[in-house]
Amino acid sequence: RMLTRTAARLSQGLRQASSDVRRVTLIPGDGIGPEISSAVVKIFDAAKAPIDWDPVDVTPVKGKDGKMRIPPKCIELMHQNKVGLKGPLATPIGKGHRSLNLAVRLEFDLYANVRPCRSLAGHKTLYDNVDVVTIRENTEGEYSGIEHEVSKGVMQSIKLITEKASRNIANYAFEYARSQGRKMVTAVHKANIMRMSDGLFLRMCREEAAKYPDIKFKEAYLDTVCLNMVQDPSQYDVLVMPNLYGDILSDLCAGLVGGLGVTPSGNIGKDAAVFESVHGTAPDIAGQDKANPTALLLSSVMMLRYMKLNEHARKIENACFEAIAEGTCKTGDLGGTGTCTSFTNDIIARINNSD
Amino acid sequence: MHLISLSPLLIFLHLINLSTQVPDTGQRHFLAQYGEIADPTGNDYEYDHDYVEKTSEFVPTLRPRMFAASLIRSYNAEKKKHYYHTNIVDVKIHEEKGFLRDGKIGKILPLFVMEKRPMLYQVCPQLTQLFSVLEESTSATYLTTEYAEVAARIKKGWRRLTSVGFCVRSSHAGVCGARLPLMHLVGEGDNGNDFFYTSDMSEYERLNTGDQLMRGTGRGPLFMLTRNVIAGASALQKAAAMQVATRALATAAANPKAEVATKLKVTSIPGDGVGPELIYCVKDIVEGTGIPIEFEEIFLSEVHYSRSASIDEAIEAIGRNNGVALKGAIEESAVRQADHDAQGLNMQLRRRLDLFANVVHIKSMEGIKTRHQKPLDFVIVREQTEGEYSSLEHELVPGVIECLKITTEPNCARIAKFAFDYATKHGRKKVTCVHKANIMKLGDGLFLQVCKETAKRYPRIEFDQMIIDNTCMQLVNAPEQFDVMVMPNLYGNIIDNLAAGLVGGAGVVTGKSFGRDFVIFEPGSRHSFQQAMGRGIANPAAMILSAANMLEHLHLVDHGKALRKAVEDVIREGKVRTRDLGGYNSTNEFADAVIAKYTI
Repeated sequence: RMLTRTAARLSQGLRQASSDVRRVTLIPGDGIGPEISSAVVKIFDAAKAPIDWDPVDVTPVKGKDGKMRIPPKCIELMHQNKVGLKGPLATPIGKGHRSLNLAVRLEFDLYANVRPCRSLAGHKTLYDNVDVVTIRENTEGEYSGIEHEVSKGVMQSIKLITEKASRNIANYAFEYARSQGRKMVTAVHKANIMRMSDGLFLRMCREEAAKYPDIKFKEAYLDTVCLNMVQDPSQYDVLVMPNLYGDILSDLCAGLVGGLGVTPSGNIGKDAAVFESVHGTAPDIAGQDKANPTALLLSSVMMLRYMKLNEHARKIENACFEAIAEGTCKTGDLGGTGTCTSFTNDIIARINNSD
Repeated sequence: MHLISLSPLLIFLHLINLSTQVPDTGQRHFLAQYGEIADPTGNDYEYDHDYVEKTSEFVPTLRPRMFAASLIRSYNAEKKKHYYHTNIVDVKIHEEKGFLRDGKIGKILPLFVMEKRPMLYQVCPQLTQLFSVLEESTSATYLTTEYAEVAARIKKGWRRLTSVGFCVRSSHAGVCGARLPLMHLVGEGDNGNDFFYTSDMSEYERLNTGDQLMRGTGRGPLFMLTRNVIAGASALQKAAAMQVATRALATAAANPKAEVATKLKVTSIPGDGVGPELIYCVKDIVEGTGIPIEFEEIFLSEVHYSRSASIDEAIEAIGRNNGVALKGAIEESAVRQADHDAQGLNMQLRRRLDLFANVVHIKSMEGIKTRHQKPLDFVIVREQTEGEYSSLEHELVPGVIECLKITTEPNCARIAKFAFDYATKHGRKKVTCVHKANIMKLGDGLFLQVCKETAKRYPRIEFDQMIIDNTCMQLVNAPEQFDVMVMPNLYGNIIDNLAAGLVGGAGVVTGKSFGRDFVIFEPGSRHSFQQAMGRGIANPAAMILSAANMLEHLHLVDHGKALRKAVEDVIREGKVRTRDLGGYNSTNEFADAVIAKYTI
């Protein structure tokens, strides 16, 4: 069996070298997941992106030890491909298994969660000048899951901050800023209250900032950022922060531009990355061709950029923005009357026209 | 009588009650008969039956009794005037029109009515009658010494009677069971000196501490007028303040120069950054409008730690000043980071005073343009003593730091109950619990659980729960859905600031920190705004409105309302605006505008 696997890997490696086609693990997800995933696949086809998809089903199966876990095939595939695109996953009810998101994150040490929030022309919200990227530490912090009942009625939740993880995320933030041509990185913290933990985080950010003199570095308290963000979001560029603050702030920023239905998200690790849409599975509209593929599409664009396929990324992104801006085919949640299919076709048409 | 000039500040309320019974109709009849009195029937007025009955005892002595049975406030909707008067009486008296003298009924002294607004008090024409009575009754047998003296002084020629008042004291030696008035007069003498006269100095002093008056007097009136028009203190305002307060009030010593005799004392903690400027702003307003408040300033600072008072001193100061403080933001200093377990001053203050609930009221103000343009009115209740701010951190191994978030059931129960009680008291319909129990299953799970259980005890209030991320999104898109929100410490910090940004920023939102025995009033989003320090550009509205809240808490309700209205008027008018509201006016200019608009 090992031989077959090695052989498979070799041939794949050869394949990759020869055709430059990247393989991406695709997790369609539940609910509207399959529809929007197929929409993305179609759009990628039209854009002639050199991507081959490996769809997998991540429904947990019972492992040898009786615990429910992600099917090993999926994990293997991820290790091979190193890049994944994930649709919305329904949270299975019941105990005995870990959250799938968490499992994927831990398996591949996807330590950075990146969420660019940009105002969409054509989807008007109260805020029209938002262009913020939230970079959130994804592995530790308040979400370490370490809790216990110290005594009756006294709960203790532990927030873990390590030097290594803080350094990693700070480094990632500056690298991202540099590669994306962003001007400023702001570290968001509460070191006035949590002096040691957020203090450590801040120190790591400062050390990294020293290595990137071309990028401006600022520090801001979490409450100040919240206060200013709802008044004037244009004053922020890239935000880097620990887990909990990142969770809240990234959702806040998503709310500014129109919600989770139009916000892309990426989980980046040292040598793997999973891009995902962060909205729910919307079971009420599943299968009715009403779903909006924008979030997943923009996430896939992020993925293309990650894989340095910037030209294709630009093409698809522009088509998507134009489709929304012109609004004739946009879906109901954006205030339009189109369907998922018509919207997808509109984008495809624009891609073809731009060639 | 030339002596009694009709100074617009003159008020006189006086009456005689010699009855043993107090029938309603007779009273009204009497009231209708004398002076310009609003029709007390059918209008809103308060009438303390108990008091009247208690005081209607008649004990025949040589002293004529003058006392007020109770205070009635009525409102004439047509004329849109408030009238205050004390009721009296007695049919018998009325019919016979006199007061008792030697068993015979003498003249009835009239009822005077005060109009609350504007600062003009009606002087009943029958005032002259009083003095003629006094003058006439110089025979000592029938008058107390006080009145003789008064009459004498009046005869001598007080140029201007600037203040008259009387009150009821609960007991008087020599007379069993009756309530007797003591009278004090402040006037301007011939040579321009002020006289302050009281019929019974000792009684007055006791009165000053509040205790004597409060006991058993119910709504007995205490009228002390200020001669300072600008000060604008309403006598009955103070009367009301005295009546309603149930604790002995810490007051400043009476200034014999006829200043307002009692001012309530509060502590002020200016803090860092623009805090001092804002507090001084409030002080200016207090002085300029005559609000009866006196501040004791305590310097608390982490940045200037060598000069800062200690927490113990601060707590003691707050304790002796009615348990109330007005506070600016204290900046957390990174300088003294050596001692990691030490909590910052803010946390120490909150923990020691057990200020477990922070209430921030988010309300849209007219004149402030917001993005969403919806009228918002919701309240954020935040647990303030535990949670993520427990300051329990340690380094497990080099490079790994653990920070503990503590959630305890008693504190959760306390804040949940507070939120629901607050909602009930203020007529709110819904309480939303904000949490992250999907991730922090034990910690926030406990909080949510306790809130749910508390909600069961308040069936008339709707209970809802929302995860913090979703709450942030909802606040940005549809903030009008929120009513009362209750949450642990960190989320409270986030939501407070987010919501403040929705209605105009840190310069307009107020906050109150409640403990069982102490209250601190402060701006809602606590930022010291260091960049603006010393430049006079910060918006003092939040601090002034916090002061207005404080006044209402101290039962100076009318002052508080007037102050709030003044601020709202200034903002609505939009002529004087600080930078955060789009103008270029300074902090002091705003304060001046508030003083100009202030009317009580």
